Amino acid sequence: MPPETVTLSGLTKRFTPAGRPAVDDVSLELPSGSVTALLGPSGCGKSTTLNLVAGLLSPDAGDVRFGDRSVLGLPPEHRPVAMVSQRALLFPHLDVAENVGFGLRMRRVPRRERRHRVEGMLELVELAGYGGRRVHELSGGQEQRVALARALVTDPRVLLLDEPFSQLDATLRGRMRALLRHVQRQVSVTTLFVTHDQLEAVELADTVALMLDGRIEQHARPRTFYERPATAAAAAFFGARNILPGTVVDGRFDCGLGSLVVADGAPDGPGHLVVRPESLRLTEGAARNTVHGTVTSADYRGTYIAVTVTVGDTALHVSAPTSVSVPVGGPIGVHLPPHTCTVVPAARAGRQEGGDHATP
Amino acid sequence: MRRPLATWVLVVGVLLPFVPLAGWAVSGRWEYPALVPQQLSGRGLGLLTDPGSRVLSGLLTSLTIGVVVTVLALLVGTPAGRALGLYTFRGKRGVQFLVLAPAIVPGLAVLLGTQVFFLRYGLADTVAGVVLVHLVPTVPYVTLVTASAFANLDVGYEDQARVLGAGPARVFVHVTLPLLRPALVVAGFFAFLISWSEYVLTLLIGGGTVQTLPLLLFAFVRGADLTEAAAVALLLSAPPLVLVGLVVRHLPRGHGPLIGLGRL
Repeated sequence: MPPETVTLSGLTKRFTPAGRPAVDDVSLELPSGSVTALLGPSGCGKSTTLNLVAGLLSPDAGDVRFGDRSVLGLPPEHRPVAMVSQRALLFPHLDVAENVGFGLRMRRVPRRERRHRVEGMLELVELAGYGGRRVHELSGGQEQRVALARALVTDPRVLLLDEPFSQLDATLRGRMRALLRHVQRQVSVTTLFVTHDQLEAVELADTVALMLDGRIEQHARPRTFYERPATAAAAAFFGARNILPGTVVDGRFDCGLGSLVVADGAPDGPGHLVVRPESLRLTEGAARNTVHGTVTSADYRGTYIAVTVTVGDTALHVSAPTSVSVPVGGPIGVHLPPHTCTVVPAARAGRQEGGDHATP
Repeated sequence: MRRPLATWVLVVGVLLPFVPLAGWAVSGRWEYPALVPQQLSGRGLGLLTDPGSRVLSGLLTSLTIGVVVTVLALLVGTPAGRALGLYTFRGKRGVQFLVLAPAIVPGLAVLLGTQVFFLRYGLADTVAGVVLVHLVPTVPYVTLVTASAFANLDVGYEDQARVLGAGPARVFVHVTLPLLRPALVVAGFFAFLISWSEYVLTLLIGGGTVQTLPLLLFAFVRGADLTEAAAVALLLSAPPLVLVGLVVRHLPRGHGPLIGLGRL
């Protein structure tokens, strides 16, 4: 069956009547066959959102549509979804093949076809021949691959992943991501996956929806979060450590560092200047958009040197190449390339769908 | 497989008291200084195999009551265990205490008050009445054991099964029940054992009309015929021993200590 476009509109869920909603007016569109990461710190409501799509929870307000059909009236077992959670949750009383075939058995697929499809799916997740194993004999990575096979064998149109690799070690996690990308291309299924790891989101997803405090902060392509974050919070989550308050006047940004040239399109008024440590350049000379201060710390970090430069009462974080020698306590210039300087609105009112992947 | 010494000590410790019992059951005469019976007799065993004896009908009554009590106690106690194990609600501690109360208060004290109702509803002197009264001490144990199983049950498994296409009823049959099986086996085992060895409640409600094995055993002991009493005592202890073997077999690895039996 073809993958399905998934539309969430105004989705809201409260767990306590008086409290802050866990999911607050969330609208997202997941194009058919795409991979979307729902990124956010723990407790931001991303798993709750996933459970709302799966039908394990019902929303207080809003709608979930697959294609042009609302699925709110359907219980989880009648939605064309599959889910893989953080814990593999393989049924301990069944062997690997029985686990993978569980969904088919629930759909009363005949035994012979079931065996055929289970074998094919185990092969896809590189576990051919493991069908007869007991689940407690599997390693953590194998468990998650079985869980993935069990989810995909029913040919779902929507695949939901809830931090599926977060309990694996770093090397294995990398291999599992590669496998997931391969599998996702093979079976072509609209995928929504929850993660708190921005690198995982960037590596796997076509678009990333950043969720903070139950709301979608920004939904855009991964690159946009680095180059044109929509809000200071989104920029901070993606590691833009320099966020300076100020005011835009005639396309220039006035702040504690002076008047700076910033990227085009900044509207006049109060805002925050956002610039990533790796965009800044240490320099000796004086040039446009260069400020002068004192090096207060320089720490070796393997692939770069984390430098802090104090300019007046502002601290700038700079990632310098390891080839540069940085004298702590000495004077230094910092160049802010204008096209890397983004101005975001000062208030947290900027919750619009930002960037190049806006949905109405 | 080599078993540790402790296992053998345990096995011998449990089985040793049965040795003189077995001796008595087959002896005609066994007096003080003699180490083995001086005279063998088939009288004890004959009592157990004689189709017309009260012993065989007592065995049947005991088995029937035990099985019915086990099934009913599981049906009544498991939902209560689910409520106590899975949910939090106002007055939960109070309910917990009330559920356990029958296991704490002596059965006799409970019974002297409720016997009136058994008489009024014609349940006195009937097997049905005895089954009902056996639920008083058994349901608390089933509730207790299943409550801890439900508390440890990962509802994620049920959610996963739902998403995989199982409706609530099939989730229960294909996922919840298998996950709970060890606890249900242990709970059922306890319920059967309690019912099997119950004396006072059976006597008071059964009024001597419902003759279970424990009642017969007391009768034989009072009759001072040690050979017959020993034979009935052996018969009384056989089913529990067989059950232990079956129960241990049905528990997954590592669940042995759950019933304090180890994996003998």
